[in-house]
Amino acid sequence: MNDTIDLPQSILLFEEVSLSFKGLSVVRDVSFSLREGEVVLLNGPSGTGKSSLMRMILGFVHPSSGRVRYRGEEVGAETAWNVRREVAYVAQDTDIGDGLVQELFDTVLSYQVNADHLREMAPSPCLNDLLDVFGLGREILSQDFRELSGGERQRVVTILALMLGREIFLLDEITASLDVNLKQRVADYFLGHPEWTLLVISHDREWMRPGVRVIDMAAYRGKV
Amino acid sequence: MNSPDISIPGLIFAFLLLILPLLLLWHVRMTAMAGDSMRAIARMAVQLALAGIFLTLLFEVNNPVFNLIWLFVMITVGAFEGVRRHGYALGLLFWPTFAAFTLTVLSILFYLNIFVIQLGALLFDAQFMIPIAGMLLGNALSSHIIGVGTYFSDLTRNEGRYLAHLSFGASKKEALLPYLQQGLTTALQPKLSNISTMGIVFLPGMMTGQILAGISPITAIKYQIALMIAIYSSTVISVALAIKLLSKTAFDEYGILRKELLNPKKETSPK
Repeated sequence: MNDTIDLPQSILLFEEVSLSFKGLSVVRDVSFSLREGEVVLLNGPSGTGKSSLMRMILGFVHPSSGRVRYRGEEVGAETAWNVRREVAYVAQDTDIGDGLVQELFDTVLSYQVNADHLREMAPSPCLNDLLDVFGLGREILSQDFRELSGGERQRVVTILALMLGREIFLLDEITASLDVNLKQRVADYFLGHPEWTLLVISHDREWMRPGVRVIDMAAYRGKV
Repeated sequence: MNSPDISIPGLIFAFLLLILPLLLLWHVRMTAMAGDSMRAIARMAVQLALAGIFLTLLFEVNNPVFNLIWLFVMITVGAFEGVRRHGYALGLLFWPTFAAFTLTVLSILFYLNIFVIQLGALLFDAQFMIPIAGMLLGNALSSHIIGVGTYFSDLTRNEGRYLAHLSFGASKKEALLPYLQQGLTTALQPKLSNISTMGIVFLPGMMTGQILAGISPITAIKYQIALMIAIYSSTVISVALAIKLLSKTAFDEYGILRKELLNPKKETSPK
């Protein structure tokens, strides 16, 4: 593969990526790129490997063939660790642990890379503002994460991802368990930051706006 | 005062003590448990008889080199048992366990023998080295099975949670800290309840043995205090060290748990 096709502003690049498991092809020959400030929506029926593609960027799943590049570097172990330091990933039903929401936030924000990044950042994201935007009260911070409803957990994890002050987001069905009003608010919030780079998996039409590039994953469905 | 030896008829009477519990198990239809119990007791009797013969020989020869070799045989069997009990892949996980046991047992054994019991020239004496090492190793092994087992089973069960924290920028060390804490907690809890009720609720086996063998209770208690502290220390050190060393092998370069090492028979999915 020729490296010169990788434009300098390209954040993510999938090059003929295929994934198979136990001889079954899950996705076949996926190629697309995501440039800085761009929003790409991966669409398509479940079981078409959308989440697996997203997890490849973080090094949690490895392609059977083809390459995933982050800022021009192929995602090997070293790049995967860089991605995890620079990219915010939120999946549906993300479990962040047992304990009070505030404690879990404190733990994640105390990780060396986050503490360093937030110290350099001015101003750092404001938790109270984010709680307001996502329709949550302050009291949620003193509740046990495991006792929250699915929709509350989803928003808490999304807020945590936003608190990291990162500008590239991988969002896997983060509005699926929210009501229509909240789906709209969450999509508005992310799409209202043109400087952010977003890769979104969703079946919700709230994400389908002008300027959002939609990739239909059904076209890449694997064959046995 | 020395205790009387136990005669062969005496030992037979000891075995007859089993009739009542076995009948009881049979009566409540726990025949499988009765069978397991008989096998375990037979195994214990054979092992102890062999150990008795072997230890008599070892104590008579009392050669520091033989003593050390025997110590390593004990550690090897302990490490093998620690890995085998969980069904982990032996090839890759044996050496970290062996290293954790060796470092813990040797350091605490020699600390005890040099500074606490102050053995001087008797440092490599079989009478002190073998039983104390056995006690430390036995405790390290039971703590290892609980602590390391909890660590890996929590990680396997909550893999999504662990990966979420990696995706939030945690280093492997940061993401693994809660699992290390949980593993240590689970290993330490039974030790702590043991330590805090000692002398009131029950008299520990070693002390009972010493007193029965004719040693003054005060001396036996001093030994017991020193050994309980040594056992506590060896639990913390060996479990933490084993988790640290095993974590170098049990994860790939992406920080993903190599589940095939923990459960060699199962295949894992890409999700």
